[in-house]
Amino acid sequence: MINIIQADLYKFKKSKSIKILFLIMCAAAASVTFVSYLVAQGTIGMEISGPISGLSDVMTIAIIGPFLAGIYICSDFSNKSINDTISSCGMGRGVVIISKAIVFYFLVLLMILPYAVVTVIAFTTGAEFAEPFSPSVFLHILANQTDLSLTGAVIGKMLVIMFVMMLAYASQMSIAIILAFVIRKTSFVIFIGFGIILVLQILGGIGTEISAIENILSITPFSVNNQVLAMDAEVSDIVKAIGVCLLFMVWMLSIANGVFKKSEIK
Amino acid sequence: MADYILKIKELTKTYRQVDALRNVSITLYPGKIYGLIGSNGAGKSTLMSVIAGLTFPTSGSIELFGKDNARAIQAERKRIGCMIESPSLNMSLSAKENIRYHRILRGISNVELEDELIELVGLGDTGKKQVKDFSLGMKQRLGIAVSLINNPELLILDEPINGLDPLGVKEIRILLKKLCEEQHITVLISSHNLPELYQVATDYIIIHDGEIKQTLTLGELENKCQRHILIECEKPEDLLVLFENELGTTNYKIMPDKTIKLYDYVDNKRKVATKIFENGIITTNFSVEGDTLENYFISVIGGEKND
Repeated sequence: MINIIQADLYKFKKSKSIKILFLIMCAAAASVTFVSYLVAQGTIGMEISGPISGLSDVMTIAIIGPFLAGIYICSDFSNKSINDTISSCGMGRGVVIISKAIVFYFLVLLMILPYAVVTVIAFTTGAEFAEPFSPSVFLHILANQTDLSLTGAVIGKMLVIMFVMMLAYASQMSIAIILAFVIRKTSFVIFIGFGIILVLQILGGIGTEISAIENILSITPFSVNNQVLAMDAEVSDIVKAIGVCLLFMVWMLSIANGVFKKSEIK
Repeated sequence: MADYILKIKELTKTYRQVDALRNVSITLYPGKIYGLIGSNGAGKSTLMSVIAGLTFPTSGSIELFGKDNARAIQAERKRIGCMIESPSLNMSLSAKENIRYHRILRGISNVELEDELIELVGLGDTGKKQVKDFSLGMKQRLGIAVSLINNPELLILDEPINGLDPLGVKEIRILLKKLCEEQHITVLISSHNLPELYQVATDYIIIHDGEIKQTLTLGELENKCQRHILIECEKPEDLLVLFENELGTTNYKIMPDKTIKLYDYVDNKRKVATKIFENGIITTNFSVEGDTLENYFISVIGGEKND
């Protein structure tokens, strides 16, 4: 397993597309924070926030996650890297899924990291920020509606909450892993993955009056959002969110394994 | 301990009620180069995929390096090198970076191996050139280098000389023979280039419509492809009566185009010609020929044989 992870990390070290994606995410995080600042200062109106909301973490990760699954896992099917791992490295399909998932989750965390870093930097400036769009945990923290002062404990809790949110995003992207191992076609994984994840994020974000859907979503990372992960969140809420995220990952990877272990590899 | 490295018994693979492989039984021994011969869709790649663990058999059994349960066989596959249908290459990496990727993937720490393999397949001068800019032949060579990284005991190569120029073909032939002789590697190789396969393989497996039609050694093949007199005439049946009654031989073969191959009297063709003339049989062709692997393959999968 460690060999697959090391080999894939070596590949990504050489990959231009990953570096470009990371720069795009950095730019998106900076843009969203800057707009949030300008809205709070009254320099621009709330109406401009609509188009910029596409750069918020909720939206970008819904696109980037399936995209990463496509260019990473699906490409490894098309360039026969997965074939080679099974036919010449003596590794089982379950090991392949777990290894690919670990690297994939790492990439998702890496892509969302700029939002966390920018949030911490912006928060420490003491400037005023607005929360103009999307149910984003990062913007919610930045808006500092509870008027928290800059202390070690506050920064510590902020880091924990942001880490849990990043974990929730990684967990949500498990859906893209299943799609990648089942469909194996980059374009389909991107389009279908984006559609499914976005719909689930919206349902999870706005909540629903249909209790059945609400109950189902409550056991998924799509229920982990700015309504759950705020600076005044209880420890039990945070622990529950972590548990839900980890269990969802295990659940999704088990499904992927169940499908992949019986399938043919061309 | 078994002296074979792979034993396949009664293996069948069915796709949507169509048999891609039917009751295939083969045994591969160490240090031999097995030429897998078959037309398109014969089941060559499917058979290789089953051995490589990429496809599951519908029925039958596989024993690899003495192991016969699925989990143990999968672990033993690290002793295999594979290139099935197309090489496993990352197009945005250079040749050396691809080798490094696969070296790390196999957990091999020997960094010097990268340069050795690149040189071995003649790609030492490609530098940082990305594989996407390689010719088909260069990609094939790199694919062969990748399949050799783990110093395999069984090398499975599906059409490895596709796209190679004559010099490249010769180099690969020499390389495979060297690996077989010096390192006792077993090679299972398929190719449409039968004359080339004839020069490299020590054993042959002929597959057609998912069935193994024949397995034979090079010696047996040479015996089968022996020199003969090729005769074409208007009434071949008269010729057969002549062979059996006047020349006392049944060592002939009737080809699909009604020509006849006579394997006796090759060094005394005058006697045959005289008998034909005396019996008033009009021939339109009378020549001494040697069968090629290609012709033999065609006769096995579709021709007639009088044994």
